[in-house]
Amino acid sequence: MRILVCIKRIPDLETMTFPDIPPKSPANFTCEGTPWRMNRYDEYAVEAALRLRETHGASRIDALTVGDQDAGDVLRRAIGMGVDHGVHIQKTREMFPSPFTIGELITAYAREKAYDVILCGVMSEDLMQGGVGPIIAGLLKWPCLTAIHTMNDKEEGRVLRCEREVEGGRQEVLEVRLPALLTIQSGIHTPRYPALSKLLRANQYPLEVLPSASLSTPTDRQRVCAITPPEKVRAGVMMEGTAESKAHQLSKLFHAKGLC
Amino acid sequence: MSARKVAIIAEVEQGKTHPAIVDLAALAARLAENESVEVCWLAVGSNAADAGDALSGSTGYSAIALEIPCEVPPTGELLSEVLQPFLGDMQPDVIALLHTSRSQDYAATLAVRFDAAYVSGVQGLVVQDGGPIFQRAVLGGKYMAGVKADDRPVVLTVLPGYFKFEGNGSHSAEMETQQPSLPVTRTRLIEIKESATEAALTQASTVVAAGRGIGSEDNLDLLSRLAALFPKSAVAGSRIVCDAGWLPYHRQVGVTGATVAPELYLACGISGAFQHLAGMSGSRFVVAINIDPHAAIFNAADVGVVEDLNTFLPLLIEAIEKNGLDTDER
Ligand SMILES: Cc1cc2nc3c(=O)[nH]c(=O)nc-3n(C[C@H](O)[C@H](O)[C@H](O)COP(=O)(O)OP(=O)(O)OC[C@H]3O[C@@H](n4cnc5c(N)ncnc54)[C@H](O)[C@@H]3O)c2cc1C
Repeated sequence: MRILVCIKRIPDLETMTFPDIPPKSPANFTCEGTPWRMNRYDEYAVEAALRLRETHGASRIDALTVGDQDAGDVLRRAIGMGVDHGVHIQKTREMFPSPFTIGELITAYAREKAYDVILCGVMSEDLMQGGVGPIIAGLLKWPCLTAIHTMNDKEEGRVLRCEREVEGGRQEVLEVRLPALLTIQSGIHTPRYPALSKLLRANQYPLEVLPSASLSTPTDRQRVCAITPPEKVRAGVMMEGTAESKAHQLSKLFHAKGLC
Repeated sequence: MSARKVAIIAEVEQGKTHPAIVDLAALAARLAENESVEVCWLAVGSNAADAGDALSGSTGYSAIALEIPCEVPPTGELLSEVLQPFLGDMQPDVIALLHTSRSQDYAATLAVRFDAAYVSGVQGLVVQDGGPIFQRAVLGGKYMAGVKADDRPVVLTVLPGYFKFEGNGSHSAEMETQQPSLPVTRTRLIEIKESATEAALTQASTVVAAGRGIGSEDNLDLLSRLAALFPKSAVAGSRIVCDAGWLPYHRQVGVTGATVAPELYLACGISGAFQHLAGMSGSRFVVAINIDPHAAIFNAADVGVVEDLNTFLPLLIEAIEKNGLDTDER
């Protein structure tokens, strides 16, 4: 079985500092000085690929990222986790790229490679869009199942049985005949932590580096034209004072409302 | 200029649709503020005609019902195959779907097929001369991104709850039923298992909800102690907390967990992603405690407290206990 896992390098949202008033042009939105890391859902996708190989055997797993010259580190992490090969499609950094741009580049790479399964994270934590995976499926005319947390192979790897959590916490069991694209949701299969020795070896691994222009010249189709602060949907009154005073105010409020 | 065409797709299961599907008519109506639009429902699934009748009757927009006779809901692959010829005839400028697990499987395929843009998780709309701008949350909900299609149709998946259709209708609009031919597909829905959400959670008057910001499983003790100060209370968690195994999945609140609407929702260390908000936005009163003054949860809270939970929760517990005594003494 040939498996491709698409991973994204994202700014670490927890340490990122956010401007109160975002810049007028989205192109000026930067995250200088923020550490970067692998998108959490993509870690789950790598884990899902490794588990599939463990149960199915005889598989090769490639990891691919589209990103600037620094983005290779997420591939090395994936290799450290156990992936066989890393493909780095180099492209200038853009905070809000079109999912079609990324999807077309990955499709251009994957089309002739005879993959049986392509896995993506269910969404990137920064853009929260979940577009790239389903777009790749559309371009390849493959079926797509999103937000899968568990999968098992059937019929010697020709079919995958997948589970996902849908609205209201119900569980759906689906089957798909390969080739197919799946997007992976977080769940019970916590991504493994790469051993230091494996990470060190991954650092020596020669990545396959391709300039994006060598693959295709994608059409954006759409653009992020504004970044604005969200609207308040409730009063959002912020309590002032010391921690003690806030605790006291809250407690009074709860009592006044007869809540406790 | 000819009218812009809007196709709204309604997935139907035995004649029933998602309760928020009718709200997509409100989005269509907003699009009509700036230019003339022609709207058509495409109700697709089992007993689609019932749903098509209901939707066209309440909104006054015409409907086409595409019957797919089946016991289990059709997969996204089947839906997109069935829809494509009809959408091809209509050539809509906007194809709107509700943002659901199922629609995520095939909405992008429709975009690819019709050379359209694709915006998922739409929460808002700015209508302007240069064409509509669709708003969606980014960066953990800290900002909204306005997305614009480049001179081409657009496929949208719209989050439930952000548009509200107010029309009260009984209108008469055209409704036709079609029996599309069903293609062979590679996906099959085998089974749907009901959720194990506890009544203790959905019926609680106070929900104390833990997010990743509680830092460690040990701090759940503090949350339980806090919850114990409220009658009919329950401790719940965000998905991340359940993924970490700190709480079981049947304690998860959000789109893929429980929907709760307690008197008080106390969000502790929760960032406020839309998938979480979907499960608690009906709460009577929401208090959020978070160390990050920019956390999106504060926009969805009645009262916000910027504090570190590690130090603040013990203070809060103490204050409530003391306040309780004060009242008893009086
Ligand atoms: C298809 C899909 C379905 C999903 N369904 C759900 C769902 O049903 N329910 C759900 O919850 N999520 C769901 N999610 C995940 C969702 O997108 C978010 O990732 C999740 O809600 C975030 O959980 P969190 O707020 O606990 O963690 P984070 O987003 O990591 O936020 C942690 C917060 O804690 C704060 N914090 C950190 N330290 C402290 C401290 N010491 N004191 C106070 N505050 C602190 C931080 O400022 C931050 O705001 C879904 C995602 C997808 C893709």
